[in-house]
Amino acid sequence: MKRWVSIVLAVIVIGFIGTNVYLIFKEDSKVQHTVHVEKWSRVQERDIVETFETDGILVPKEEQDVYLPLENIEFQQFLVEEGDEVAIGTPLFLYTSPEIDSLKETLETEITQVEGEIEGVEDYIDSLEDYQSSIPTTTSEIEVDSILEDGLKIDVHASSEMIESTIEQEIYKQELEKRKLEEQKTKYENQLDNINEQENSASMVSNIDGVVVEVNKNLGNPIITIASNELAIEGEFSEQQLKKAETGMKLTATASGENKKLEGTLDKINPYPVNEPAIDKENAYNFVASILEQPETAPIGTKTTVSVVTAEAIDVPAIRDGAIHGKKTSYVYQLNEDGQIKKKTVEKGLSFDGYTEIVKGSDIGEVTMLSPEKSPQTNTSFVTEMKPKQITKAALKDFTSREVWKYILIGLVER
Amino acid sequence: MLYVLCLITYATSTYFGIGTETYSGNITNYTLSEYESGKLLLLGGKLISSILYPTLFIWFASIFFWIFLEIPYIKVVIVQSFGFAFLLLGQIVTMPVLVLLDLNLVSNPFSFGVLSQYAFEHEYWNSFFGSITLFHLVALMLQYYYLASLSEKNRYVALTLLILFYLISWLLTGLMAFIKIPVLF
Repeated sequence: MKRWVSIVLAVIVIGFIGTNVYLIFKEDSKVQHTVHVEKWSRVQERDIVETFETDGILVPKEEQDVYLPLENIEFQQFLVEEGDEVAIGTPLFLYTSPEIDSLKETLETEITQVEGEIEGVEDYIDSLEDYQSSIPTTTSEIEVDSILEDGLKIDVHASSEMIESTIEQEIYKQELEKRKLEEQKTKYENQLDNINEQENSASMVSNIDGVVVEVNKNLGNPIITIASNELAIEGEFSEQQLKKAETGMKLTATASGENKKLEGTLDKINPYPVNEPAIDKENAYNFVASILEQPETAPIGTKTTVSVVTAEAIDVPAIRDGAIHGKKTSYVYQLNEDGQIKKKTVEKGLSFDGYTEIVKGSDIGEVTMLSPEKSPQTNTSFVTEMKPKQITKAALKDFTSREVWKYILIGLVER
Repeated sequence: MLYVLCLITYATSTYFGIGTETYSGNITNYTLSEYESGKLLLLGGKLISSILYPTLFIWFASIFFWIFLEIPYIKVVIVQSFGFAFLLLGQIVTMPVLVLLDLNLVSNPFSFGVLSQYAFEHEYWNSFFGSITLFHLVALMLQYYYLASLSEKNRYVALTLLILFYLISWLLTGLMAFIKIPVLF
């Protein structure tokens, strides 16, 4: 072949390919594309729980100070020592007083009052239980009792499961309250019994289950301090954490030596820093959280890792973060059943741990493209790379013979 | 050797999903393992065709050249094998281009499919022109050169036969790119 012929040929070939490439990539190109999708992700039903973690330590829920009950009192003797375990109603010390009769009366009125309160709580629990059984199992229109709803702070759009769990928690709280009131009643009754037994002397009894931590031998107030057996969690928040935290938030805590995670709620946040505020130092703020179910083995002082739930969305459509694009408006590239890519605008919700809740625009089961390097044209076909690891015998057996032939034919015939 | 190479080429192109557009829609209804297992069936089909096409191209087509050009059959087979090997090379080169540029076979930049999509609306003609690539033209010239020099007949007979052969194969591949199997079911 002569030299100029090969040069001309080369120019023609390069020109041809160049023209093709230009035509493929010019704007509003008429050329069909097929996007080769490497990774995709399905919209799944997930719980998205936004949390942050901090350290905590198990402490007695309360330290109760016991004061001398009357002013005009003749102290007889202590019945407990420091370190003694006491239960509700355990006598703490003996005394006599001319005012014992009036004390008796006070105790009696206290008992009636507590009884009234117990009744009130019982009624409330009953109405909660009634309400709970009236909730339909399906997530349809739920008529929410407006009074209860306000009390429970139930979102109108909440799913029935969420409402149910809120109610359950409320019932649990109320039962706790009831138990406390009953304990109080026992205490008063014990005290009354003690007075009745010994005509002119009375004993002061313990209010809570716990351990005596201090006995004031000088007979000054408070005369005895008891730490409760019931535990709580105490810890510190950093400045950033303080901003996110609010009382009433749920939390979980993992205590060393305790298998089960402790669940609780944030009861108190002290907005005043632990140390004197200083410019060059990070401030820390104390918090106290109550525990719903008491730990079985972990003793006071056990260190725990607390994760505070700042927001949660249960059973919502969620997708991997990489599938969502766009800054001002978010959108995803949906791979639809026609084998085409479609751009869809979505509304983002909570986001945590690599997943984002989709509030609007995409449903569970839909498939979206993950991190395209360049934004694909929409309404074009797509194909996906094989994932050999995902091939299973069971799935192959599930195909009808018609499907089997269809797919073999596609492989055989289609180009 | 050629068969093995062809097998590998077809399998790789299926692995990257080339030519599986009509299957892609199943992604929404199938579970991940169903979707991927179905592709194994596509691959099965591809493997059958990777045996079928070289056979048709090399052994079957050679019969006609042997009859009309009066060249020893084995020599025609060798020429056809070279032609096929060159086309296979073309496919191997095309594969990464399609995957990286997000294109399909109709829009193959080595083919006339791009120009045709600007000229025609009809999909069949686009897939027909899409199946004519530069590699085909070069293979055609190579085969013409050897067959014409081997044959004692008029060289235009060889050219006509070759063009006819390629025309038929383009029409068929065009048809195969055009057909959507799921429509038949």
